Amino acid sequence: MKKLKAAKGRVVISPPVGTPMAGNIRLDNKSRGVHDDLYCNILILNDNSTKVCLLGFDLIGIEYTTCTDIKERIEKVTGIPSENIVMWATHTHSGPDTGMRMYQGTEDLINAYLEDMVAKVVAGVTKANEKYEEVVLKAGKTSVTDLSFNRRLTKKDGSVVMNFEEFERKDITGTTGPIDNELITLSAWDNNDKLFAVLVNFTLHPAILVSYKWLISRDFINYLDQYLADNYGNQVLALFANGAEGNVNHLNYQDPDQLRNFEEAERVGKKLGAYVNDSIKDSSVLDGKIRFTSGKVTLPLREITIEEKLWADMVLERDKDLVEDMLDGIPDKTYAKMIKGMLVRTDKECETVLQGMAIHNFAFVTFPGEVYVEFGLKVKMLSPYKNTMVIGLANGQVGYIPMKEAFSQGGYEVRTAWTSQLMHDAGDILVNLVKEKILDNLSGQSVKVMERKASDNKYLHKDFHIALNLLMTYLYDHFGKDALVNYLKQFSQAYYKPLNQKLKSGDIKVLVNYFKDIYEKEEWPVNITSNKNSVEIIQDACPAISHILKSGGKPCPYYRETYNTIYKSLCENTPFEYALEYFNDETGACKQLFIRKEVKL
Amino acid sequence: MISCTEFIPAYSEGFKFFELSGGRMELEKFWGYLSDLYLKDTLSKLVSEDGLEGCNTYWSHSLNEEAADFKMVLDEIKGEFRIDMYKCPSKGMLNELTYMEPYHSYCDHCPALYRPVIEQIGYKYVEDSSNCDKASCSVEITIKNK
Repeated sequence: MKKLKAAKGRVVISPPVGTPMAGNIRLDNKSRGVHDDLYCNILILNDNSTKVCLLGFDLIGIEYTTCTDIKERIEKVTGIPSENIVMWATHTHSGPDTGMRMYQGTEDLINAYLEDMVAKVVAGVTKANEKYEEVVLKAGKTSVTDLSFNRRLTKKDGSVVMNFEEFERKDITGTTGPIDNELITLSAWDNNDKLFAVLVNFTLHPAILVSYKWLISRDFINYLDQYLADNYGNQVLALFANGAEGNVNHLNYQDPDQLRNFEEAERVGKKLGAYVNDSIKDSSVLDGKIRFTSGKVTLPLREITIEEKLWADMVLERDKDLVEDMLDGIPDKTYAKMIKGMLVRTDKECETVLQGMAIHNFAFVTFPGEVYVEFGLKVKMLSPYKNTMVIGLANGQVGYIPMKEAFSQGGYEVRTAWTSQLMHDAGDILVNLVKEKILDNLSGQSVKVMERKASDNKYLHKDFHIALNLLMTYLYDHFGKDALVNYLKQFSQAYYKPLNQKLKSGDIKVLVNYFKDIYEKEEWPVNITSNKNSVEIIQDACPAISHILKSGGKPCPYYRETYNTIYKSLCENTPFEYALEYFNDETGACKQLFIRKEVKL
Repeated sequence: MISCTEFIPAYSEGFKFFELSGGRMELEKFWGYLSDLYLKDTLSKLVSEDGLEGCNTYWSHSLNEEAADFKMVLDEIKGEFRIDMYKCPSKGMLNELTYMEPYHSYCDHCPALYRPVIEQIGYKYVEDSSNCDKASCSVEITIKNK
């Protein structure tokens, strides 16, 4: 089972010039052009039982309703079950503002973009689904310790500051948490051993550019893609899936010279490409069926407190003349507006989808938002699979999912807004759900245990008729009819010895009981009549020949000898003799007669 | 008719017949023929298409129908399929037919039939037949490059 089928495709989803950009808050947020195109990358895996469609979008996020719309439309056109479609955003901060929650008055432009984008993606998946190639999948991983950094910094006074905010380097003692240094690849290789596609999973905010020069870009992923094309050929489809990147970005607080431009995106992307290369080289073949699961879950939403409402009122008054303009993070005034907007929300919960796929010792699980890296690491620890990808920002955009303790520390991700709207324990709830609904389900499919006692089943293995027929056919073909008859005699004399002994007593009931028993065990209809001197057995077909024919086999030319030779031999040195009065070689319909010799005389 | 419940002694007598006709080589030739034909559309097809799950499908069917006493584990994560046969119904039946002399190496037919099919597909087949006389054995099929 090393080979599966795979299909791939790529659709350009760059927005038109003038589309509001996401990823930061600018007074003027309209895009000026495209530096490098945004894509929806499509990879469909098919093992003839299960089809899974992976869609990686170069977007900041995709709303749950948009995901549902795309999935339903794809299912309608291609037949791929909507629950088997996995969608995620790479989270580039240089794409369109698909959430439409940062700015007011941009809905028409974004809606027009989304409508066009969705239609293109559905068409792209439809086209990809028309052409599959045989592939071998491999999974590998490598360690990356110099490209990603926990962005929550601890100051000497115990307070927390984000690494993109202003701080004195000398005041920093370290970070509040770890990074995830695992880079995992799932690569698909065609019949010519060329790389067909690769799914790269690494935990890193694509926020190097943050709408740099108001140009649309995939950020470092563009350069990662270029690196892979240069090294493996242009045929390669590279999909980047972010991990638990909620508190991880590229900023090294110890490096004062770090840039925020295309050169830096190129440095990170190409270095990441070299790591992908290492992971691919270290890969091993996956051998097994696609195991997949998907389930809807609900997550509790945070309530806006009186204090937050009062704060929002105060800020809106205080900052009424201020313009909202910030490269990283969100200005107070924008937070205040969002809090006011959230006040009218009536929902207590939000719905989302969790998914997981496993093949052999590889698995991925999805999270719906920007989950803290600590949760991603916990899921990897809980997973029985050697290589477990955690794919963040999948199937919806529920915002940041911080650790509970972060709420008392403060910082960007915990401030109530559309970008941080779940209850404080949502991360723990999600980890439990991923464990119980996804990982346990997948491992239940991957590991199957069956234990049986002999008494649990009835002994009836009809395929033995096929094996015996092959034995007889081989004997007949290689040694001739006489050898076949001799073998059957040998068997009859050995196996029916006790029955033959009983028959010698002249008790005809011995025969009746024997035949009733074997036909009952065969679950086969037969007409057995007897008197004190004879037993007559009539059957419309032979159970053995019927099973052989049903299984597409051909009965041995002298199959009738399993009656004739066997029972003649059984009757030797007994008061009975056997006659096969008629036998249909095609069906085994026959009439058998056991008669007392003295009566015949 | 040889009922399917009477197959095992017929099979055992067949092995004896082949060995008497042409020695062990003759018997092994027959096992090779049986392995090719009998398992081509069953075990071989299932394992080629579904990997280790194909083993699980094949033996769950046959061992349940044969009313065996066993434990079977498919572990795709480890890349292993394992059967612990606590009481083999075939060997068990032959042991109970005390008036017959079974073929002296009856249990040899299992690896002779299954190993070539499994290895041809690219898996490793390891059996432990040290308790074979007591109708107990085990087999482990694994992915070679795990």
